[in-house]
Amino acid sequence: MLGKAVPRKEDERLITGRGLYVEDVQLPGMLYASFVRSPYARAEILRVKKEAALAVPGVVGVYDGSEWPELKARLPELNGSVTLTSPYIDHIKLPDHLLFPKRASYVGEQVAVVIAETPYAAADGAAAVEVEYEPLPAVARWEEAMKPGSPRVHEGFDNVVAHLKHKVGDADAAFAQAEIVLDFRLETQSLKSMAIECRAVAAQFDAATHSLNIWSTGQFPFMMRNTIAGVLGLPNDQVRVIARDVGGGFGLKGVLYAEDVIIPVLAYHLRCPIRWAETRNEHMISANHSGNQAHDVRIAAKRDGTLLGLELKLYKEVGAYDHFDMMLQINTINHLTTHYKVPALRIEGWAVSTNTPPGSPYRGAGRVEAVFTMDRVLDAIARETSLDPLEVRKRNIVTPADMPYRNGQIYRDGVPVEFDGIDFPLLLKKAVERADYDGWRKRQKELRAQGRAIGIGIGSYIEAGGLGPCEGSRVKIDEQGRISVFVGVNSQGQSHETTLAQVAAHTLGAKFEDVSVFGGDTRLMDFGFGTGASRVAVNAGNAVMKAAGEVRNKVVRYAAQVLNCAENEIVINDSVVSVAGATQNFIKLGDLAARSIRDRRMIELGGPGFHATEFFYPRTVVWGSGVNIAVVEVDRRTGAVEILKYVIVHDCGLPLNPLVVDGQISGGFAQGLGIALGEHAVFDEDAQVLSGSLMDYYVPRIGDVPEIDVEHVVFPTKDNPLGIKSVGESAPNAPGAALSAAIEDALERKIRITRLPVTRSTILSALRAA
Amino acid sequence: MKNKVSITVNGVERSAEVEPRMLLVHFLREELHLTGTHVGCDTTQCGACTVRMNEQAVKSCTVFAVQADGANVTTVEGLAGGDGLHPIQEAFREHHGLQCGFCTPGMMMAASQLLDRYPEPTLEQIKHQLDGNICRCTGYHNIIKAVQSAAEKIKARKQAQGAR
Repeated sequence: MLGKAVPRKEDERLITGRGLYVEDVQLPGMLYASFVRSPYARAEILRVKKEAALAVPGVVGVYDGSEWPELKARLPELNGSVTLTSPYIDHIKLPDHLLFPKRASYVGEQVAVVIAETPYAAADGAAAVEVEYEPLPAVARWEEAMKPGSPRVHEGFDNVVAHLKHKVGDADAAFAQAEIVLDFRLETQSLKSMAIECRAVAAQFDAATHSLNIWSTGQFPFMMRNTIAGVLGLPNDQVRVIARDVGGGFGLKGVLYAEDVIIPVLAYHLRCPIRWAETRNEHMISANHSGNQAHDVRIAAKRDGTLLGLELKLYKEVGAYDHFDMMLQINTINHLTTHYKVPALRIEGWAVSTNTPPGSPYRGAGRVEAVFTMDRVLDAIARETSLDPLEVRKRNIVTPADMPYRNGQIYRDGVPVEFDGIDFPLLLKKAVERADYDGWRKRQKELRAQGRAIGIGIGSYIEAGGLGPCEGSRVKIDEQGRISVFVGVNSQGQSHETTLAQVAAHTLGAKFEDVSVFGGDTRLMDFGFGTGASRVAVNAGNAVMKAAGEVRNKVVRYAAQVLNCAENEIVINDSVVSVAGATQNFIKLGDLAARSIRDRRMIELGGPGFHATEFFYPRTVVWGSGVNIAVVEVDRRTGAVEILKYVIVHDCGLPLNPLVVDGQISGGFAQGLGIALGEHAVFDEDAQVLSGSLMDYYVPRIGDVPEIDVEHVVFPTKDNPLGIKSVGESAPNAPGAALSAAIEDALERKIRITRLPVTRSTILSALRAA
Repeated sequence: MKNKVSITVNGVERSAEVEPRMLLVHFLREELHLTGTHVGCDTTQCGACTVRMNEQAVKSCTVFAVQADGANVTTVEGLAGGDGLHPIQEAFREHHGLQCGFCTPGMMMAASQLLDRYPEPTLEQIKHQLDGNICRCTGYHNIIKAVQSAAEKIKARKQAQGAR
């Protein structure tokens, strides 16, 4: 069962329209919310005039935070998965993030909320609220925000909200020895995850139990539960957060937003169910973005292409509120050197606020920036030395002989980074063969002679996944032999109901059909640390294995007594417990569970029935990796990039379900393609959003995504019992680097690509300038 | 002011008094509680709200309910036309053509029109016909496989029916 490409359990409800996404929640007496949002990037909110809105038919109330003390709460300063254990950060000071601020700090920030009997009436009401603002000077660009005379994003706070430093080896010595020194700036754009489901929250107060039921699109249901319980002064168990069917997350939904708290607080006070669903327009304007990032790199290398050292100054825009301290920057640094040896490294980083929406990770979370930098560095050395980019990679690659290899980094969980059992040269070799790299180099010459612009590019990534601290699972067998697997994490499409069922069925010897996985509901477990950082398969998968293993132990011990045999003679297969070698002596798992319910022999086995709760604590992260090779043709007249061949060779350890792994690679690649060629959250000088709809923000369409040629290589890990690594954030990382290199190569290096995305107009204007 | 509309949805005639501005997608979701049709963008780009209206695939966020008065509308809930799954639904499941599932109902409704038009679609036809439906999870490769497989399944079903 483990490793099999079985179709998904979650699909039946989703393909028949019976899923329950938050906006599908419909309750008797439900009211609907619509937010009034600041049109200014920075403004004093002088007065909220409610009268006209209250006169709109169907409007129940208008709230601006002055009504109840809970509406004056602030959001938790740091998000669930931050870097408190990273030694890199040396300074951090963040302003309070209020549910209803006195001063708006970005366009689209919530100023008031209208509650009405229908969604249409709520929207009418929001349009009728009159707000008096006093616009204040704002800052839209991080470069401006770092200047001494810049307007402050928040009064009393420096625009640089956090700072870090890290070094490996002796950078001064590396630059002293260097035969080549190169320096340039690389820039990567701000992005939005752009899940097709926007954000939403629904809340219902249950008077009988004095508790709140909340439906959320969030990736961190326990953080949401605990925050709301804290704000309302309720025990955690009187707040239930359900986030079962979520229409894509990719990081943007992995943070608690003001609306997530405001709606439940209003449902609590008004004693009415309330639903809010963000419009796409609101999403484009006010939902978090990933933030622009710039790297000033300085390279020390030798004439033979050997990299001696790297100096990196890292500037990261974190928007108006930074709930992730320097997580993204540290991710970039932790992943920076990918497959290559960088003996000396000196890094300094700044987290810079701007009057734009708060910063959030987007799938990859700093890794795209790392890969883009490392591969651009290697390509720059190739250009300078006239070596083939492949040769430069071969000369700097970490080899199996170097394993276990420490690159001098300390991961953000505080543990030194160590690669073991990974054959980077093999990944590169396989990608080179699969892409027919040498063949394309020959064809490139021939086709160039015919005037065609063909280019080849390489991108290499590493992906740390499975970040702790832990996840738990409760597994039980009922009297019908149905197996329930409870987990503390929720899915936004990752197929947990299938892959975790495979783990449980495999471990127990049960039929896959008998297993149901339940997640995304804080009533099911006491703890859950969120779906993000490619952590679920490793953490929850191994927790399920442990819990199912413990249940199996109980079954074996009890069955040996019932079937009158030794424990080591018990065989469990297809949900039937039998004695090895005997054909008549067997009992179904469900019958055995039923029999155990009133059996005093279960005193020794933890009480009636078969159940167990276990937690898995990873020692640290596990490292997946891969190589992308792109072959492109550029149309010099239109700037269009056609992908002729795209190869991905990757390792994610043992696959739980190859269908799901392929799906993650294919979907991640499409997102990487978007990052490479067009996606961009754009703000003007006044911090007004220019990418305000799906017409303005590019998302790859079906015709844009080329065939990809994927090869799975398995380097199992001993770091967890399942031998798995993560895959969720692997495929978006390298297309930016590989395609940039290929485009530059296609144009015979007449242009230099130092910035993502590489749009058609970028190519055309660079060609004109060259 | 409200208008009476009468729309046959998934074979059943449904009447209601609606505001003239009410969008068809909101009529389906909020009045009829058919929440399988999703709203992803409200500006006709994403296609999550695609339904069939008099056989034509339309984005129901860009049609007023009053415009659908007297029409025949099919949503994902009516795609199979009874118990069991439509071949398109079967194929999406078999080929892992969905991850989060949010775009899927609209994608399948658009695919149903595509396969009516082109029972043996070329790759180019699939790409052209599904250009207005955005999927953020799958990278589309498995959606293409699912549509190709659904075409085979429909053909096989028709042949089996013809033989009977």
